This record gives sequence, structure tokens and C-alpha cells, in this order.
Amino acid sequence: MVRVSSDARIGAWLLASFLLLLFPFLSWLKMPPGERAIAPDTPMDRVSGALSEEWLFLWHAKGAVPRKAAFSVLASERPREMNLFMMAIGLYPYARPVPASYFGGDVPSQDREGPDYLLVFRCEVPPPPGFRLIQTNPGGCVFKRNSEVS
Amino acid sequence: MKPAAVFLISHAALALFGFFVAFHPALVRLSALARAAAAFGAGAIALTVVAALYSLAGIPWSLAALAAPLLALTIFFMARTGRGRPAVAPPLAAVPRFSPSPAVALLAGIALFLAFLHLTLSLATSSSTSADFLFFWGVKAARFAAVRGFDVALLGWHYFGHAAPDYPPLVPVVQAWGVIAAGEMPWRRAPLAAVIWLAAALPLVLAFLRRRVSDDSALAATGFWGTAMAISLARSLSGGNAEAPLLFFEAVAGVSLLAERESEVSSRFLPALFLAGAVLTKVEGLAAAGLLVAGALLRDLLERRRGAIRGAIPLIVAPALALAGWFAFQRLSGLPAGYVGHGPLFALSYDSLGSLGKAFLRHLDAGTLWLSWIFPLLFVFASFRRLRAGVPGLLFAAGLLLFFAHDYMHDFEDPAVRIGWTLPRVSQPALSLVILAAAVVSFPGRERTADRVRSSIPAARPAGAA
Repeated sequence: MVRVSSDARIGAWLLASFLLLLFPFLSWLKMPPGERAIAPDTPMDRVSGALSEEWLFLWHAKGAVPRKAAFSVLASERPREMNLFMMAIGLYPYARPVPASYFGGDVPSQDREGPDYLLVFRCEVPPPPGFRLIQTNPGGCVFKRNSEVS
Repeated sequence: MKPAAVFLISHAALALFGFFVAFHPALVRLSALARAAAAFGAGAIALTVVAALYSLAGIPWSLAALAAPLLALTIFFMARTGRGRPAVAPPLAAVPRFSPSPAVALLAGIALFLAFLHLTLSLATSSSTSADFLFFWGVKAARFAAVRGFDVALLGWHYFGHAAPDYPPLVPVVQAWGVIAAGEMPWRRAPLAAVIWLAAALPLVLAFLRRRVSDDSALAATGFWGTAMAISLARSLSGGNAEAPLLFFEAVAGVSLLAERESEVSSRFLPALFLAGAVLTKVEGLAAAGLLVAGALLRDLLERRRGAIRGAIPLIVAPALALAGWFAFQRLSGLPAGYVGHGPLFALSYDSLGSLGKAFLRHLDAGTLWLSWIFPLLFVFASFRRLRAGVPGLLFAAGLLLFFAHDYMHDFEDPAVRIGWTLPRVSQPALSLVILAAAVVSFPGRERTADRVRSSIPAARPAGAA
């Protein structure tokens, strides 16, 4: 057993705590001063640019999807469509999600039927016939089924 | 008040729901802060149980409906214990008044303040949010709050399989409680709840370490533990997911077992309760509970402690009841009961062992180039003669890392990517217990004041008495 006095051990533990703090300190230093404490636009601002962009699109489109409405999310890339689908279930907790695809795979046609609203990421996918554009936002377009127009 | 503030306050308010625990004889002499922290953890567990029972009974969740039975329980126990102190004083009562030296208190306080500032800023600026919060933890909470109960239809829906519907319910329930109070999910600020969970663990870690080592030693170790865990939580993107609650339950259960001394008559009420909390928080909480029980039992047998087997019983029963309760809820709700594994137990891939090993080591850096691990391990190696005292924590850490390595070996493609995403966060309880075990083995024991005081108590309970 290595014999070290109790005070020295306490000092070592304290010193080690401050050594650990060097790592986050350096990471904050690397950041431009003006960006250190910016209020975020999305929960993922500094984690994933892609997720941040997807989340912001859904957030902006929130007002266009009423409670209890059925909606689908479309994107030109299947992985992004999956991300959007997963996040939309929580962002629209009172609406009914309808998958356009799932984990990159096709969804049987009966499971894809019935959305009243189509949320199209970056407006990159043309909506099927019978939908009209009701909102554009920086992240994409929202379409509504024509039969639902009152 | 802003929804985010209400959401976070509603988390802290869980302490009111669990306050009946603060009147348990095992905890009644702890500091007010430590008792409040224990009540916070117990409140989260109690809320989960009441929420599940309400869902089964078809009673919609509301603030009043969920709060009423929990507050009633607290008032009942307050009235019962308020008349007089418990007949059998727990050993903790014998720990002298907290009196650290000012320099140690100042330095540990500064380290903790800076570490918590870093964690808070990281979470507040969306630098540490877990993607899983947006994909399923927060999603379940928002949906449960919307339907005022467990959304069983959603959990059973084929296209919700990505959201791990079999995962235990504590985190979605606690977050849903916050959403009901706030009126909406504050997606940007909700991850800040991780700060509350970590902060709640601090007074309990300190209180239990003080049973074993001097005030200064306990404070220095708590300072290091809190600093390392705050940095790790921020680095591993643990905002909004179940990591901080799991860390809370496992760290407190672990330190309370580590702090038991050889001749001590000790209640295992709190570790048993919090192991149940761990099981209700994440699937790996079950493995963690098993490892901690095994570690405590092994330590007790190695040290020839009286009532070793008997002392393990509450540690086994409480998490087993929690697990049985969750599986029963699944079955009664028409959901598949049990957990979905990552494949048959021994269908392992050995081809990617090299890649696994490299990725494993690389992603254990804890945001500090492995210093968070290296420092406590150095103390463990330097104090190997006292190693037995640290067995519960060290066995837990080694076992948990092996458990995850075994899990990653089910990947027949290169597991490096999954390890990179998950290991930094799932390894945190192992790091936490290594630090706490190192604190227990490396510092000389506190003077046996407790033993002297206890000898004057006529009817002490046997080890493991709840």
C-alpha cells in the first residue's frame, strides 16, 4: 500500500477536480465569444445540424396541423424522412401520424392511407394529386387534402 | 410563468411526493438537503407507480389526481413520526455534525459550481441534448400527457417500434408530469432537468461518504464525483434522456452500500428503493441492480459480516417487485410483456472484437481524456489492501462494462458507430461507482464514533433491516 497522508490525498482529489475542469474550459474557449451563450433555436443546435434543420421545419409547421388531424411527413431522403416521422409524433401529440416510409423501407399502402396533411421537408417532394399548399416555411411546405377544405 | 420554468419546477416538486420517505428511520437524521434529495427520488418512483395504477384503472392523469395520494401519504407519515423520534436511532445519527475545513469546502464548492455551470450552459445552449429525447423519451412524455395516461395504443403500434416501447416507464411518466403542469413540452429547455437529477445526488453522496470517511475526505471525493459526472453528462449528450435519473438512482444506491462499515448495523431501505428506481428507469438498470446486489453480498461474505444473505434480501426483492410490476402492467395493458433483446444470448460476433475493443476504449474518455477514470483507479490500485471495501462499486463497474461489451458483440456489422453513440452515456454509472469505490478505499476510515454511540442503543436491527 502506498502511504500518503490524508491531507495529501484530499489535496490530490481537489486538484484532480480542477484538472478535469480544464477540458470543458478549453472547449468553451474554442468557441467564438459571441456564440457561447446563445439561446438555441432548436434542441439540437450544437449537436446535429441535420436534426436541427428537421426539427425547425416541424416546429414552424406546427400551427398548420390541427388537433386530431392525420398527417404524413415526406422527404427526398429516407433517413431524414424517418427522423422527421419520429420527431413529429412528439411535436404533434394531438395529431395522428401516418408513416410514409419506415426505417428506409416502404410501408404497405393500407398503412400509408388517410393523411389530411402532408409536411414536405424542403418542399422537395411533389405532393400527390388532391393536396393544396397551405404553408411554406424556411424548412419546407405543408399541404392539405382538398376534400378537407371547408 | 414560462412553460420551461414550470416543467423544471414540477420536477423539483417531486420531493413533496416522496417526502414520506424522509420520515423513514433510516433517513430521519440525515441533513435536510439529503432527505429532500431522497424524497425527490422516491417521489419519482411513487409518481410512476400511481400513474401506472391510474392508467390501469382508467383514471385520467391530472396534477390534482396524481398529487393527492402522494401528498396524503406524506402527511400521514409526518403526523406519525412527528410525535417523537424513532425508537431505534440509525447509525447515521452517530455521525458528528458536518464540519469541513473552510479551504476544502471552498475548493470543492468552486469545482462543483464550475462543473454545474458547464453542464447547465451546455444543456441551455442545446449542446448536450440527446437525440433520443426527440425520438422517443420526450415523444412518449408528450403523448402520455396528451392522452392523460399511458398511450397504450401508441406503445403497441407497429410504427412506434423505434421508440423502444418496452423500456420502463419512469422517465416518460416524470416528463409527462412536467408537460401536464407546463401545458406543453418545452423541447429546448426540458433537457435542463438533468441538472436537477445530478444536483439531487450530491447531498446524498456526501452524506453517505461521511459515514465512512472524514468530512474533508467526503467533500473532496464528492467534489470530484460531481465534477466528473457533470462533465460526462454534458459530453455524452445526456440531456432529456434517462441517463441522469439512472445515474442518480445507481450512484445513491451504490454509495449507500459502499459506505456501510464492517460492524455497522445498517438499514438497506434506501438502496433497495433506489435499485427499484433504477429498474423502472432503464433496461440496464436491471443488470446494474443485479451487479450491485452481487457486489454488496460478496463484500459482506469476504468481510464475514453478520447477516450477509439476509441483508441482500431487500436489495433483491425491491427491484424484482419493480420489474414484475412493469411486466404486469404491460400484460394487463395488452402489450407484449418483457424486454426485447438484441439477439440470442450467445449469438455473438467475434470478427469485430478488435474494432469493438478500440472503440470501447476510445469512447470511455468521459470528456476528460480518461482522467476521470485514471485518477480514481490509481487510488484503487494504491489502496489494494482495503480493496474489499470497494467491491460493491468495482464489481458493479466491471460487470456493467462487460454487460455492454456483450451487448455490442451482438452486432454483426462493425459496432464502432453504436459504441460511439451509446457508450459515453451508458458507461456513466460505472464511472460513478469507480469514483465512489476509490473514495471509500483510499481514505482512512472515520473514527468509530458511531460504534460507541450505538453501543448505548438497546435494540439495534440486524443488517438489511428495512
